[in-house]
Amino acid sequence: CYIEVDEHENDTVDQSDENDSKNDDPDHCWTQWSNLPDHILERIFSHLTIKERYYASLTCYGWYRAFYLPHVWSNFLVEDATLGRMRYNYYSGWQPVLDHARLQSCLLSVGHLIRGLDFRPQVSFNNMFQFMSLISWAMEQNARTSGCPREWVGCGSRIRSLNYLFSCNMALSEDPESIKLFGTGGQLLAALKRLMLCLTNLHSLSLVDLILERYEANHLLDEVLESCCLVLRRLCLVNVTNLHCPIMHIGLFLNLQVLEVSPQNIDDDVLMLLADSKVRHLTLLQNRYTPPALAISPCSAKAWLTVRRDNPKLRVHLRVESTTNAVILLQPEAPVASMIYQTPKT
Amino acid sequence: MPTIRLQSSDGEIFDTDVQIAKCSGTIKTMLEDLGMDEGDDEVVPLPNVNSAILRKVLQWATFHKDDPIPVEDDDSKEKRTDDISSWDADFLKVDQGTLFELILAANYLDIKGLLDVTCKTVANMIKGKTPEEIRKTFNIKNDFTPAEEEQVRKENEWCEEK
Repeated sequence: CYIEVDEHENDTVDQSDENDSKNDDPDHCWTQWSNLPDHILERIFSHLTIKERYYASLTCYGWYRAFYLPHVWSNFLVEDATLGRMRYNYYSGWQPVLDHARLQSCLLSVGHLIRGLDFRPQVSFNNMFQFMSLISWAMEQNARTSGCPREWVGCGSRIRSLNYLFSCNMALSEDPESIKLFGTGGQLLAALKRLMLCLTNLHSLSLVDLILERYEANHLLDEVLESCCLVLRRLCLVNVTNLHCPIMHIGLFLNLQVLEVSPQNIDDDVLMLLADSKVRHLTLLQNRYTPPALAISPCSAKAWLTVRRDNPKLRVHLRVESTTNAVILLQPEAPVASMIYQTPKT
Repeated sequence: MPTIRLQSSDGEIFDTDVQIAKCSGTIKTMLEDLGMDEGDDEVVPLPNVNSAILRKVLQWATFHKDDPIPVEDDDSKEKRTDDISSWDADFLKVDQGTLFELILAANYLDIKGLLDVTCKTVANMIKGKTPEEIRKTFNIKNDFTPAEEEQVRKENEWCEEK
């Protein structure tokens, strides 16, 4: 009896399905794009901007599902216009301003999926500040002992990588010779440090062209060391300062394997720490904002010999990225494995 | 140069340079696991790829045989779609049905470079279009009810500038 009923039900379902599709459009042959495997849809969606992902998600149910696949949001790019709206300002005309309501909805919707934050604004430091403050706030809610509001649970908890590029050249013209350097600091630096304190599972951290004062540089990594001493694997610090200022913290991450740093930010003492570390690849990077090689002194041959003896697997890479004819800073007795010279003159 | 014989789903045999065939992770594993490396005349059946698509795939693999081995996907790497080489761009000037089959073949054969460039091409075809235009481009059926469509549109309204 049951079987009969089952069959009967199935039959009617089948018929109605067929009828539906026939009624819709008898000759139309729909493609299978909506049913691609998840990892392929993730690949496609990750190449789209936020708005393009949204439009694609409105086409069919399969692509609506794809909108929420984790890898689509794994790298979250923050630029000037990200989640902004245009606002008129008497000094600079139309400017993108971060829209708090949009950012909040975004974090509530996909904040728990983000694995990497990539800050790359050009002009609007205020947007950068607002963005960091809100996502830090959301993560602080999660760390509260008294419990987190349910809608914010998990926001930011998967973040494993942070890239932060400061656009330090304030020269108005495109002329490569005219460089006006202003580093970050003050409230913006405080917001960055607050964010870094919240990120307790960072495997990769990249801070580029911050150009700090010495007293700020000495404390830049206090929070990171506190929250990620064991987990950090890759650290890239380009031009923390543009004066000689060794950053001791870089030798204190217990499981660090890849380190990129500018030569003005290491000295013999830092090398002694690296000699006792698990660092395998040390890149000494000079870019267009690094002081000229003549103004930086290399580490001593004695220190490099100690590194060779105590950390024989460490390989040094000397790298220059510059728009002018920069000179590579040589390090006597360093275990150099490669030299990469990237300028328009090469 | 050693060759192997690949057989498409419709039975056509392709005598292929082993080095070229090995840019497919699937074939490479098959050869290594089964010890079919000896240059014997065995045929490797590829039941999920028809001859027209396999011909295209081998054409792509031949051109890219000297490419460096692609590294694992890096989450923190910038996602670009404007870096498709002109040869690939010409190669992928095909109808969307062929593009679809190429993606599935690249997936089945585990050819990362081809999967990358085909997915980028699809992303570029989505960019700058409205949902309705995207459906037209790919011939996708709108399977939402009007109520669902409205709900889905509202759900992620934040993606769009107001």
